Amino acid sequence: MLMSTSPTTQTTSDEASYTYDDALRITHREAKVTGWVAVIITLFFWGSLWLTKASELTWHGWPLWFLLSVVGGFILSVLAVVILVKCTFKRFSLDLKPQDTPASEHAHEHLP
Amino acid sequence: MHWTILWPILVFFLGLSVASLWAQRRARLQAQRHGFVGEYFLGSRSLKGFVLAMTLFATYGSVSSFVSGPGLAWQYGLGWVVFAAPQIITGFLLLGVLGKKLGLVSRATGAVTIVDLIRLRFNSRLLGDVCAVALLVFFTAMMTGQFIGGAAIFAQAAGLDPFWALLAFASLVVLYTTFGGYRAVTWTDTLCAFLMIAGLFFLAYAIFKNVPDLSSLLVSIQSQATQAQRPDFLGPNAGGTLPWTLLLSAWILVGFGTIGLPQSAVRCMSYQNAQDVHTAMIVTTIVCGFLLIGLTLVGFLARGLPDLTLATGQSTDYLIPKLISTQLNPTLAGITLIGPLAATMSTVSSLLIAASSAIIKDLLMSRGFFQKRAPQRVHQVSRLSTLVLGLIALGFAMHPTDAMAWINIAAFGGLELIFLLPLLGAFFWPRANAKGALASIVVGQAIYLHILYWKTDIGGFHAVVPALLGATLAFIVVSLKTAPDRHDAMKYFFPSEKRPS
Repeated sequence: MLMSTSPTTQTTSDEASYTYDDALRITHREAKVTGWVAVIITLFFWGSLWLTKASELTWHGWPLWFLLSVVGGFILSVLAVVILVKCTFKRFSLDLKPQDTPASEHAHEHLP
Repeated sequence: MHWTILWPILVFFLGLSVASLWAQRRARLQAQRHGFVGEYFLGSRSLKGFVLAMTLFATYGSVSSFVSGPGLAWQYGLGWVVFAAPQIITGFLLLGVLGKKLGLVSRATGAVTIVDLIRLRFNSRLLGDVCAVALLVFFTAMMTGQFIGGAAIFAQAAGLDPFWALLAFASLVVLYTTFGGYRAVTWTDTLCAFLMIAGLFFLAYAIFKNVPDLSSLLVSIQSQATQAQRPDFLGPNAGGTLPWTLLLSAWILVGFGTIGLPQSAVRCMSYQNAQDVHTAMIVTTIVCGFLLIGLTLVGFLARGLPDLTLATGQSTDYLIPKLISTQLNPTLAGITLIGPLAATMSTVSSLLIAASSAIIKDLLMSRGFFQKRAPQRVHQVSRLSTLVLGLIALGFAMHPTDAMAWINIAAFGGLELIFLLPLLGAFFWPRANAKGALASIVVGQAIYLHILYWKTDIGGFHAVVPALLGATLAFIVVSLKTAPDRHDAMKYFFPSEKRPS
């Protein structure tokens, strides 16, 4: 079921509710985890390439280093992002305001 | 000129026109409810996850993805696929690092542009103006480059006069962006993304239709690699022709550095809810990696076609147009041409609407330009600025200058050096301040442009690497040596325990 919490966005009823500061902390954590996942994939790519670049092994004509680093790296990135999203990222409303924001504070442009 | 090549492209143009008209109709309704500026420049934050993914991908993939990249892969072999490989992380990196932060903070502050957020965070009109002007200059050059590249492939493959080829597709994209705004851009981007993917499959068909199987292509490539003065097409660095330092640099330039591309980052402010970000992360990773590496592989595999050669000294940019025109019948050639055209038009429309927002929102509205004027002025001036910017880029494309070509070459790295550190500093380092951000921009650009202009060899590294190192050092040193930001807007960016006391 959709609940509209602002005129411009929609949220779903199974989203958690947090304070603005909590939401900032969560996004910060998610950003760090994303960064580390990207670093790990980068290390995997270069590690597998470096270790196998001199190998003459091939599979159906494709060199081993290519299969591991490029194809393997792509598969790893897809798996990593699925796990990241399903297990680490949280669903919560993004229509929040800092707790000390006055009700009268004008945050939106009201132009026709 | 073959009309059989042209008719699929005309159908594509018609499809874009219908999509944009539909979007315009929807945009008018939303603008009445939620305000013109938020609708015209951000689509009223209405993007669902799949559309967010498609517009991100279509904005990022450009004519060079279909022309330059495969051409260089034909020249250097799998080594160029190594150069393109960082794009396996590009799909999720921006959305995961900045996606939800941008969404959260832009909603709370009412920001509709990246420069809005930077100006607010650092409490600096000067920094905002520098970012806005740099965005305008680089985006105009990039649009010009896209127009030239798109017109070239269109003209070569379809046998058209380059002037009319350019006028046809450029005027369409400028018009639908002008009158449809961000919503039309994202809807047409979604259509273009599908056609770009289809373009990959048709290019692959062009290669495979006359060969028994993939192995025979690889055998042909292998046999060419053993010839004298040919690079190792099956090696990871073209037998040493591509320095390892350059290949490593690619993980900054087209990998981690893409977090700093404002035309992509602004999309992180335009989705509906958190689930849309999650969906888009998965879809973009799959599509970006598959298509962008797939296109490079097409160029590599084209090396295995004995009849596909280039004249001595001819640019590798001619490879894909030649593949299309020599290997496919006119109808299929026309359908395949849609892919690179779609890539060009989707990139241009995104750049154009963002450039227009830099003028209207970042340079004019931030100074209260429209407050003392009739409210409907902002509608007219916004559309006029989009139209004029598009026509300026078109004008430069019709009369190319060396200066514009040079700025275009510098644009991708230049934009990353302007926006990457201020964006990361804005959201992740409470101690970052305006002086530090400005110092990073000045130092980064100075190093970058110096290396590019003088063609200084820095051990094979791309210029963006030393420039980014210098910019980072400047950012840290100057921020720490000057007063921290303690203004009220910090509450939007950091929880209470992280804000400087």
